Amino acid sequence: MIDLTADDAAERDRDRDRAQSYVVFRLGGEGYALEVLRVQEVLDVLAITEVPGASRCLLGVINLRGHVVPVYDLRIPFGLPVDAKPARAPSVLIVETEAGNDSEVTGLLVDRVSDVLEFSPEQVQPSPQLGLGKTTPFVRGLIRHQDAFLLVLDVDRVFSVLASINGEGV
Amino acid sequence: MGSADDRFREMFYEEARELLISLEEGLMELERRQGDRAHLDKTFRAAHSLKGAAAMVGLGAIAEFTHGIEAVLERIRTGSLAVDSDIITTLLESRDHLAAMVEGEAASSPIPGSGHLSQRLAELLTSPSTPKPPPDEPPPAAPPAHPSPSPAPVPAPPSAAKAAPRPEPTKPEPPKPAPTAPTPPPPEPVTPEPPPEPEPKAAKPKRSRRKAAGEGASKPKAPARMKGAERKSMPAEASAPDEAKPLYRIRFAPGPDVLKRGVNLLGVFDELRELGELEVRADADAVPPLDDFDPERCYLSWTCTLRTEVEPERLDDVFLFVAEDGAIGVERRLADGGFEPVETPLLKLPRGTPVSSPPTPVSAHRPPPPASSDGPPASATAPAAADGAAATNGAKRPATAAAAPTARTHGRIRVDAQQLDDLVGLAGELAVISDNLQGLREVRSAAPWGATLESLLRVSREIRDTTLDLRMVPVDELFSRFPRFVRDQADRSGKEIELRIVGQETKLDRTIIERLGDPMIHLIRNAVDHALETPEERLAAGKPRVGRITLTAGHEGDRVALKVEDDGRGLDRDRIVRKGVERGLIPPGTPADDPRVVGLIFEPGFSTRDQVSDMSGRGVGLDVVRDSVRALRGSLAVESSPGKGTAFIFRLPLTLALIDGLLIETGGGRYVVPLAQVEECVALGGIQTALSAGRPCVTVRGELVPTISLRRLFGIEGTPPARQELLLTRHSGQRVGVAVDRLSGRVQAVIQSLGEGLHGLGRFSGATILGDGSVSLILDLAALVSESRIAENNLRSTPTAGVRAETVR
Repeated sequence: MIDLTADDAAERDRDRDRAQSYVVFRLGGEGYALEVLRVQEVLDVLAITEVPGASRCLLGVINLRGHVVPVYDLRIPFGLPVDAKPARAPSVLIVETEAGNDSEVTGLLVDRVSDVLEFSPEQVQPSPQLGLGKTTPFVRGLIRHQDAFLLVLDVDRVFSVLASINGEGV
Repeated sequence: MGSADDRFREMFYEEARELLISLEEGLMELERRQGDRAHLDKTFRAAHSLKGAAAMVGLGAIAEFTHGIEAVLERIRTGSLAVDSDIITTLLESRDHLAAMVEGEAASSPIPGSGHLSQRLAELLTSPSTPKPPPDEPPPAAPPAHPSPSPAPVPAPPSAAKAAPRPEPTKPEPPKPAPTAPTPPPPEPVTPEPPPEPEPKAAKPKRSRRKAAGEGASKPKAPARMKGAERKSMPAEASAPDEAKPLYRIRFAPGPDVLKRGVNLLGVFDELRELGELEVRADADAVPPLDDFDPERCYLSWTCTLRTEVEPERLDDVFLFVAEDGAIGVERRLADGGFEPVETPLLKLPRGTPVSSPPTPVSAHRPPPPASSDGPPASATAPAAADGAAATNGAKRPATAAAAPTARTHGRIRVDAQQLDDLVGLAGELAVISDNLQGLREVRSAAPWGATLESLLRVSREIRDTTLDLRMVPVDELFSRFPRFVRDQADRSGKEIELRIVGQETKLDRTIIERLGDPMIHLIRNAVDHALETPEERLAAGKPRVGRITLTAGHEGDRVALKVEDDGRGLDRDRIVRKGVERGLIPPGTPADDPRVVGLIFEPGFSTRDQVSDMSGRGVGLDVVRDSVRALRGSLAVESSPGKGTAFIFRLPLTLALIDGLLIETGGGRYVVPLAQVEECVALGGIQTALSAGRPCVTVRGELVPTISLRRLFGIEGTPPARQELLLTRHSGQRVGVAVDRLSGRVQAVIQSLGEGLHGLGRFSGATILGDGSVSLILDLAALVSESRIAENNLRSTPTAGVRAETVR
């Protein structure tokens, strides 16, 4: 596991000069980018089993080919309004909870996955300390793309915050 | 080769650990079962095997140290040393050191043998205590036995221990040594004679056998030759003068791979020679021409004539390492010169055939020896050879299979625990997937596959059940470590304690067994330290001097109950009440016989150090014990009567991977409730809900039962159906009802963890995937009830009597 992580890191180092792929998705009107390495797959939400008593971020659990996987709604930690009746079925990103460990995954609900794009490291600008509202801590950079900014998601940060929310629990 | 060595080492460590366990068990029992010869033999054999195994992988220090233990056991075995507590203690300590040596080797930081312990062992060897047989008899018997036949016994370490004893048989015949003197000559003429005769004939079968490799035709010839050889030798032996000592004929055909296993066959003969006068004749007929010769294969078999007074069981030890895949037949010569087969525990094993022709399987391995005697084996192997393309293999396999059917049934393999768990998980998934596919049977166009779907369902369920069974191990694996523990604790505390174990064959999930060790140790230590009285106190109280701890395992419905019971002083209820009132856990004035009182000992931190008096120190960390049992989806109960004793009862699921559950619905969600938590279901339709002490209650058959609404707990809005169902569960000894919308049936659920993020949610113990592919959460009723009580208590300013005591979480 550690080796894998190291490998990934090494790979990332090597990729530093080259472009890196990002999954680009939309959530609450913003565009986000997440390293494709961390994303196992994208699912259309089928049936979600609610978990009564869990924090509001936890939408529920799904059956991912025989494994029970929790699915979180990022809108709540991001302070975005929750759309009770979305126009179209949202998608779930299945993300490795830890980089390089493909046995434990978490689902993240997003409005729509639009693209997988390559950006070079130079294209990633440092994120502003302010101005993104509640989203600020979860963004580790900005990418200018088609006259708009994509927010580069710091997914480890997301998971650690989700874990602490769950810890407070119920 | 290095890797192969490592592999052998690994195998040795595993084997050694097992042998050390049986050695320890054996030693523990030795004191109580002094006269039990079979038990003593078993214990001895554990030491002997360990020694041999260590020597085989080149761990000389371990072998040598083990030898010390073995020698003492041997001395006990021959009756020249009476077992007492000190001896056992020395042996146990030596065993522990031995275990440390083995683990040291395994961790590549070898530990030397303990000189101190070796010396104590050596003292036991030389100590004069000789309870049973007069010591003067064995020595005279031993020396004359040796010098006469060929090479004098190697003064190997074991010989000292082995030669000395030999008590029982010797007794009636102390003067016999003298008549033994003439013995040597007879066997000598006997054996040299036959070899030359068969030699020329042997050449032919050999050649034909080579052809037989293709056609399997040589069989008939071989028997003829061997029979001749036997006839030759038998009359000769019969003509020998009557001997005082019994004469044994041993046919020994080691397995073809015996050399690859690193067994030193010469050692076998050395050991035989230590037992008495030995003549050995090798049968080299099976040795193929050089072209076909495999240097790593053993082609030889032997016929030995042994004149000895030792019991034939002793031969087991000699052949211990070769009996597994070899064939050994022992016959005793009768007065009329004929031979009758001898059975010993070990040598009986390979014998698949009735007693009448025991030596026949002897030779089963290679075509030539099988020929040795009567028809049955030859005819059995011949057809087998004929049908196989490679005759040698064909003949060998069925023969061995027939020869060792009993051994086969004990066949076990070690598997990686993690792989096994993975397999159980996969088998569970397979069963779920095939469940899902069953929906296809209602699809008209899938009708042709109906039968296949049904088979798939059946097979996948069988796979699941079988793999689950693989995880089950007998409780003995857990219990077997306690005799030693109790003994040590008793020594330490100066109390006299007897440990009884009942139902150790009950099987439980491997994980449960592993995790129960500490809780049980905890309870046993408590029992020794606090519950059981000193011998004086016990006598004064009119109880037997020796305190007793009983471990019981057994089935209770679909659960397994483990009980740790002592016959000590029982819980001091008055003291618990005082303490409970002090801490505000129970209202003042609670009577000591209130059922809630004993439950208090499970309160976190309930029993503190100041309470560990000579009167009652129970409850030290019992909350930890209970929590670990709960984590295994089990429960822990306590029963106690003053002056009579205390019993802690673990109730545990058979397996952790699977539960029998009740599928329920509430507010559109489906949940699984472990069936084990449900005592009863009643319809809540017409029953009047009342309020008792501010809590909703219903009356079930005259009993007022507090109820919890799952809808309310889950914050589900809307009106419940007119007719709800009430699941009755038991919490802290009290019945509690949980109201749900509907029952939808029984399910067998493979449990999955909810993942780290959700561990805070105690109300769900996991999740499972239902037949339709949807995920269903598993409700933990006990946690639910606790949770709702806490919620209620927070709403109330003054706790009602009894409420707090139940919210133990």
